[in-house]
Amino acid sequence: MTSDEHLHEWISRYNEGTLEGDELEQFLELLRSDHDVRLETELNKEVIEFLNDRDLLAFLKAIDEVRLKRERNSRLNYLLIAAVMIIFVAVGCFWIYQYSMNRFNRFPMAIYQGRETSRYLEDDQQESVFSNWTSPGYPGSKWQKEVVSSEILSIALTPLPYLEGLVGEAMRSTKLSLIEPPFSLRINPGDTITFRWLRTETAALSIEIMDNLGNRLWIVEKLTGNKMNLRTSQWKTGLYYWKLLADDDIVCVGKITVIEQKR
Amino acid sequence: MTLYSDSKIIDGIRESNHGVINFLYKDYRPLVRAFVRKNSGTIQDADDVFQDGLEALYLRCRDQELILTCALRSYFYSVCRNIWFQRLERKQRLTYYPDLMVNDSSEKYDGRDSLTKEQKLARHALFWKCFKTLPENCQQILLMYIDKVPCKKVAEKLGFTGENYAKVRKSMCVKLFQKRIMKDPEYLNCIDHDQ
Repeated sequence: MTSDEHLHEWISRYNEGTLEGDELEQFLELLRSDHDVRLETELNKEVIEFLNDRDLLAFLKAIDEVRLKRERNSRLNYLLIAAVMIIFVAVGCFWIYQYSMNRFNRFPMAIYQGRETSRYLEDDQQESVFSNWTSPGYPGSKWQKEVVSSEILSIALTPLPYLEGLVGEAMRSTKLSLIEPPFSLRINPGDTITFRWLRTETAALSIEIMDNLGNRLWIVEKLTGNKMNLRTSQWKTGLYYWKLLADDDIVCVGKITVIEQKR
Repeated sequence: MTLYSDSKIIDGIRESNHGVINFLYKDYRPLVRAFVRKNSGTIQDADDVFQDGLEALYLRCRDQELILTCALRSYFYSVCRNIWFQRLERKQRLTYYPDLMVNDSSEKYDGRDSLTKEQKLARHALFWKCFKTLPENCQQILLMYIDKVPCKKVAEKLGFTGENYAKVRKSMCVKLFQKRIMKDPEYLNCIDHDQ
């Protein structure tokens, strides 16, 4: 037994009252001379007293249990609040995404799937060409079901500044001149627009239709005649821009407002 | 939240009733927190004071009949207030000044006596904190040792190889417990340096 263990045993026995004889004498002498031994003996006595008070231990345990339970609940509450906030943010983001998708995809980008474009097409043939246009990525065309509220309508009719500035400005082109339509046209949904031009040189003609956000909706390429009818039965109410290009140079830009008009 | 009358609270404290303790946490703790924080303490200090206040209230209810001449809430507030001032005094941050909040002098937390009580409460909190950190079987050995359970029975109950080993373990656990207490920084604040 080391002296340290010996001392501990003496302290325990002294506090229990079982230290006797010479050992007690020696220990009392040690107590008088050594401050640390005195502190340790006092602490041992207090610890035993503390552990002896079982009711107090039970009470302290009860306090601890309540405190831990409260802390757990409070953590759970914080988690719950965080979860609710995350759900709100997620729903908000989803709503904004849906809203913007509906707004941007009123007309999904079209792809021409026909074979013939390099020769002149009669009106009825052009219609059949347009019937080959599809809307990729959006089966069932959800946007078609869109209810045009006044808010959405105002958004759809907001001009796009950079194109608005070009409307009516015929570029310098010696290749062709446009006869119709007028640069600013207002039509009812479903009306047909006729593009007519006069060629002075051979050039690859194309017409691009854009919405008021600048999204390219339709491209008709390799036009060879001097006329093209464009049916707007699938167009939603809103503002559209068109560009007539000859050999990829802009000849002129115009706008078409599709809106229900009183006849 | 269930509301308890003062007498129900006192009974509940005597029985370590969880519902009553929970009620005190909810209803009394904010007062103590506000007071301690207002008097240069932290939330942690406030929670320690609150816990010591609960223990003081428990000991007072258990050891002698508590006859209140003011609301229990005021009494408890006063107890916690004194504990905090004495703690501050002990930490040499503030000088103690007499209680002015509770008018009834009989329900005051006695100044000179409570200085010792405050130290005792702080020590108890420290002992309890260290006791909880001991290994489970050490806690059991210590409690059995206090109950004077013979070493042979301790060995049987805890599956030790023999009586001697149980004795060694008991001695080790006592040493470990005391060592943890003495190593805790709070211990130096708790001991009476005049001793």
